[in-house]
Formats: sequence, C-alpha cells, structure tokens
Amino acid sequence: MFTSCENTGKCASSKSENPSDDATVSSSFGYWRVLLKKCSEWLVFIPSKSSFLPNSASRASSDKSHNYEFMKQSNYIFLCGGHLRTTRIVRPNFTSHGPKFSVLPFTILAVTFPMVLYLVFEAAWLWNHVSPAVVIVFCYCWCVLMNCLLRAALMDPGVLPKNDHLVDNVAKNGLPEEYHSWIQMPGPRMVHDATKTDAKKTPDLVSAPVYAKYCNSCFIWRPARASHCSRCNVCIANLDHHCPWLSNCVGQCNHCYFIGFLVFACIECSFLAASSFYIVAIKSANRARMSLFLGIFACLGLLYPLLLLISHLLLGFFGITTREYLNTERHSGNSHLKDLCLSPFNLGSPTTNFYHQWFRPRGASNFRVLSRRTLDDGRLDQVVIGGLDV
Amino acid sequence: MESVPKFFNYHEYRQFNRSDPSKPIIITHFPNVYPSDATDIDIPKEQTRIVRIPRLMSIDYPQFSPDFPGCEDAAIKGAENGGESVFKPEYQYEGQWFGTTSASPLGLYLQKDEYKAIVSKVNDLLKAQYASSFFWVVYIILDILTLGLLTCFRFGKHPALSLEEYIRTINKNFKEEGKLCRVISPRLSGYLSLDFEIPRPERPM
Repeated sequence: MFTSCENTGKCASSKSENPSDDATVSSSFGYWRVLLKKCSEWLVFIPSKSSFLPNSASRASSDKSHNYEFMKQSNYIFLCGGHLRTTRIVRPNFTSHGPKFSVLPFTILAVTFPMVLYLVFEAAWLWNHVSPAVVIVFCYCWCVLMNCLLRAALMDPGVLPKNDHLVDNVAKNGLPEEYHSWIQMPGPRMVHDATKTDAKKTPDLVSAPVYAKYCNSCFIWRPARASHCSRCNVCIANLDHHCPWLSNCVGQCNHCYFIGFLVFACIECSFLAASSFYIVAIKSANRARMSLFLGIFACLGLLYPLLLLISHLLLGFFGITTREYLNTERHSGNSHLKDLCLSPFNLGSPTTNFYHQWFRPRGASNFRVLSRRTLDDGRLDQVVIGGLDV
Repeated sequence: MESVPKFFNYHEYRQFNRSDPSKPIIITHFPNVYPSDATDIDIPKEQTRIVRIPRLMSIDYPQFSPDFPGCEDAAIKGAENGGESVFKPEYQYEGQWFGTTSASPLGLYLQKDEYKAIVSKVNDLLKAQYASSFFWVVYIILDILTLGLLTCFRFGKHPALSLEEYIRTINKNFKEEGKLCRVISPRLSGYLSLDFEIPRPERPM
C-alpha cells in the first residue's frame, strides 16, 4: 500500500500494517541482490574496474578472496571464478590502430557458423549417401578444434608474477640505473669463442650471449624469452605473440593448444571443402547452392590458418618465436636467414628446435590466480614510481 | 670482437655512498614482498630481508645459479681475505645495512657447501619437473585428442610437489638447527629467482 505524498508531505515507498514485514521483504530483496552480485562477479570479474584495493583489510580479511581479484594492473577479465581469462581492449590515447573490441567472439562465430550450416544442409545427406563415419569424424574434429581454441584463448598463457624483484623505496628513489639497461648473460647455446684468433688451435666452446632486461612495469627480471605484453600488461614466459583472434597471448602454457587450433582449423577447412565439393559434384551446383557456398567458404578460410601454420612450423624449425622474428633486423637476401640460424636459442637441429618449441613440458603455473590472498602479500600491490601509477 | 659474457648476480646494484664516494654501496639484499606465512621464520616480516639467487638464462626449465652469491665470475670481490668476500655491513642505505662488495649476508647463515647442495637439489627437481620425453609428446597429443579429459587423470604425484616437499624439509631442518634462514618456495616467486629469507642485517656493536 502506498500513502499519498500530498497528505503527509513526504513520500513513502511502501507502508504496511506490520513493520516487521517491511524488514523481511527488504532483507530478502537485499539477499537476492547480494547473491546476484556475487554470481555476476563469479561469472565475469574485471579486477582493474573493481573497487578492491590490494591492501584493503576489509576485503582480504573478511572474505576468502583470491589473487585474481587483486590483479588490477593487468588488463584481464576473469571468467567463472578466475578459472578462465580473456583480455579487455584498452587502447591508450597515443594509438589509433588495433581493434576496438574483442575479436574472440567473432573467432568463435567463424568456427561455429560453418559447422551449423554443415549440420543443417550437408550432414543428413552425407550420413545417408556416403557414411555416418564422415559426419562423426567431422564433428569430432570440430570439437577438438573448438577445445583447442577455447584453451588457447581462455587459459593462462604463462603469466609471470609482479613485484618479485622490487627494490627499496622504489616510490621515492625510482629504479637503479643498472635496472634500466639490457644485460648480456651466458645463454644455453654453445658456440666457438670468436675472441680466440689462434688458427692452429680449435676455438673453445662458450655460451652464446643472451640479452635480458628488467621489466619496469612488472618489476621483475625477465627470464630468457619472456616478454612483456602491453595489451595484457603482464609479462609472459616464452611469449610467442599476442594473438588478436584469441584476445590472449600465446606463451609457455598454451602454445601447443594454439598449434593444435591451427592444425585442426586446416583439417576442418579441408574436410568441409572436400565434402561440400563432393556434394556439388554429385548433385550439381544449382541443387546444392549452400554446399557450393560452404566449399568456397572453406577454401578461403583455409588460407589464413594454413599460412600461419606453415610460418609457425618454419619458425619452430629455426627455434625462433614470432616476436623474435618480428624484432629481428630485416636484412636483404640470405643474411636474414643467417640471423635466424644464429639465434642463441637455435639448438642446431630442426627436429630438436621443433620439439623444444612445441612439445616442451609446460610445468606448473608461474602465478596461481586462484590462491587465497593474504593481506601482507606485496606481489599484488600497486607500485607507484614518482607519483605515476603503474 | 665481442667478448664472452661472464655471469653475475643481476639483482645487485650500486648506490652512491655519501660517507665515502670512493666506495659505492653494493645492494645485496632486498625487501620481502612475500606473505608472512610463506615461511615459519620466527621474526616479523618487517625485520626480514630477501637474498635473491639469480636464474640462469636456460630455456628448457628454470635453473638457478650454483655460485654462492658474491662468488660469481663477475662479482665485486674484496681485496682482503684472499679475494674471498665476506659480508661486512658498513654503510646504511634506506635504513638497511650493506657492504661494499658483492658478498651476501646469506653467508652469515649458510655455508657454501650447504648452499650448493640446496641449489643443486632444487635444480635437479626442476629439471625432473620439466623433463621432456617421448611419453610427454604422446601425452600432449592425447590430451588434445581427448578434449582435455586426460588431464583429469593423473598417475602419480605432480612433479612440482616434490620440490615443495623438499623446501619444507629444508626449512624444517633450518628450524631444528636454530638457523634464522628460510627458503621461499620457488613457486611463490614464479621460478624467477630462488629467494632466501634472512633477518635484517644489523651493524655489529
């Protein structure tokens, strides 16, 4: 029941005869509201937009909060209670290129759309006139493709923790001079010592130098082949590249799934093209227009993943990542290939390089986002250098 | 011609010494960023410091420097004591005591052979954790082909647990021996460095 504002001079939202009913209604409404909020936060959580402060006693001590809820410096969106993640699109003011929105839904749509058309227009005919195995194999390959896509896109790519290598009073003093330079360290590959010029004696084998750098965004000394991704704003171990189609980096932990995605994308496109053109050949183009469309779609769709797969194969044989390839100085003629061969991580044999690049064990995760956060854990603090929030 | 690079502890750095500009302070211990429950050391976290053992530039698996901090090829060593560096807290910087060589305060709590045994064992366990074999190739392929269901079935203990157990054993031994020194689990540091937690160095009276 609602009272009139004219008589009382003030509005009341509701008034019932028993005030305790109001409290019950509002408390149950509040309960559902809190529950809905918790469910929505569990489903989708954006740490950089949350109001949780890393040093907040009220949050860390009262609730059982996890590390991912305090990763404010990263550009991640965490899904399903922190078990999955994707990158939010954050475009700094000085850039005008790059997508304005996440491309991952479109990638999923590009993978799902032909499958739906295949099931609607081709599956029944192939099941009855060719073999049920054809349809089953196609569906199985699609499931593997989607599984690889989702694991490559939503899994931890090998994120490294932040603030591990902080120095004293970095807010006031900044970083030491030594931390701003590239350093040269002995690497894993052995080469002949170029400083020895004695022609009579075989030069000794020494480690080829590797360059390392301190990340002044993550405040860590990056291990070999780790790199900082400006889109995710984290350092990734063995970073290959940031894939815009996946909205995620391809690194130590998900490289094999990325390659699996490319392989099965090529298989699916080939399969779809073959079955579609077979139907067109049997039926004729006029009577199988959708199959003709799917065949052409599959042929066009095969180009990009096939080129990517070939390029990653070649890079794997040389033991070089996509990022290292793009950063290599461009030389004319064969000297560029020579640079690739001289990579400090080239172990000399294409099969060994291939194996190390694609089939190396992933190991345990470098930073456990689902671990409970403690109040005095400095690894998730937001460090301020000279007043600039990083 | 390029000279062959020598390994050094890239965590340490120099600071200008106002008391004696000819002797720069070498920063060899660092603030403790880990949670207080990372180890069972009986000292408040604010009174502890971290000695960082650098990671080697290997790519297959994390490996840490077997050289005792201060004894690396390119370390800054003192002239006395036959070049053997001993940590001497002589100058203060940001409320902490440091020396003028690369000698680490870890030497006050751990002997070189003890340190080497610990680091060697940690490196061996990490190598086992990342051990690659034909079985692993088959596992990856089957994991992809079974839509990730294979990861639900694990046979035997996770290799990472062996390292955690070893760290716990070492810290327990330190506690029983009364040593105020603890090893931080490399998992907490993301295998970026092998960190030792020690009491804050104080100037001897």
